[in-house]
Amino acid sequence: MKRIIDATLRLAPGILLVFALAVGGWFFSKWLQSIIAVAWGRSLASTVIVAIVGGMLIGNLVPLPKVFAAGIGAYEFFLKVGIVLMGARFLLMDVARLGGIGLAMVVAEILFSIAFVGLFARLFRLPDKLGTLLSVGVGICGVSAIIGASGSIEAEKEQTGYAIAVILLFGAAALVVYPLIGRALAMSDKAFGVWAGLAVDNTAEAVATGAIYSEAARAYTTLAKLCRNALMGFVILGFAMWYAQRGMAKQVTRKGLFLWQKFPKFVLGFLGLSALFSALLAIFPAGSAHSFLVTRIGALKNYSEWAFQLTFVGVGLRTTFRDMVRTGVKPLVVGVAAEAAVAVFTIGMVFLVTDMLPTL
Amino acid sequence: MDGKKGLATITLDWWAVIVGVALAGLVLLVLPALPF
Repeated sequence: MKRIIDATLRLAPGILLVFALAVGGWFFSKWLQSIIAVAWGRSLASTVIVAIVGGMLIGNLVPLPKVFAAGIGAYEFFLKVGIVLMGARFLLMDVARLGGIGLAMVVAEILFSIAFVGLFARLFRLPDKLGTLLSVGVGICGVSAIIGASGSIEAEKEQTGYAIAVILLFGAAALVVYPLIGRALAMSDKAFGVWAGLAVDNTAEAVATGAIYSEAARAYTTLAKLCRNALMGFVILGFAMWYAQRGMAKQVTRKGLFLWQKFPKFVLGFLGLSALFSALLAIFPAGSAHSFLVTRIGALKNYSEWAFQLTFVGVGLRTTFRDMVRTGVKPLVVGVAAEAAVAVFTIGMVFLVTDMLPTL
Repeated sequence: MDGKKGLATITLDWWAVIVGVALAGLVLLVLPALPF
């Protein structure tokens, strides 16, 4: 019991701050939109952008006391709850179809980024393990993959910090650069969404990038990103075994258990709710029970929107540019090259297969 | 597994699943049954 009270006290200030900013930002955004006359100005004042930019301004300009740190860090929890709740509004069939093609694209993307980053890391003589961490971060899902991999390949703490800083820096850049490229190329919501999900590294930033483009794009981004997250364990296991073979890390003894431990469990929650609501809609294809279900799915969508809104405030607050510039030039150069290469590779793939993907 | 640790052993991912499914249950079953 004491543990729960301690955790609550530790998390409460930051979470309350994030809540206050999310709700305040939402009203502020609506007010801004009501006074802006031009359409592009209104889209810049969207609730998503106001949450992220507001968070960034406060995170970088206001010296926040340390009591807020733990609660601000909890935005990852809201992200995951938001994704689990999102499961309710996707039919399992669509998830399976998109997931099948998505997984194939993700495998290609991961192989490409591991090969490319590995090559560049050698060229710039980065330490092997830093190179691995960067390629895992770029290839799969940013921060959680890096943390997962750094334990398994026994990387130095400093290298882990570097790799995370690089990934976060590019996440922040992606929020601005990707939507601009998408608009310039007049990409559809589907194409842009899948692209952002494949190419933006960290889950929170990927979902935010999709959301900045459009609500429809965000749905595709989230699904594509989940495919990447689901493969995290396999890639980390591969690297762990490779380093173990060269005597640079411990052997992995129970591989099945290892894969299960590294599997992002919230994906199961997403799939579970998708299965449940798909089954209910199939049982009640019409009539009052059906329309009741539709209103409930709408209500759950609202909850998931708010969970994402909290996430976006957290992403903004966490993006402190001061910490990022300490990264050093070499990992940054490798990062720039890798991100650009992955972006080009994945946009090519997306243009090839977009027509094959189901419309959500 | 150390049974004494209880709630502390549940990871963030599982908490997200628990809270997400609980919210879904609330929205689907409880809220509509309330008189307001």
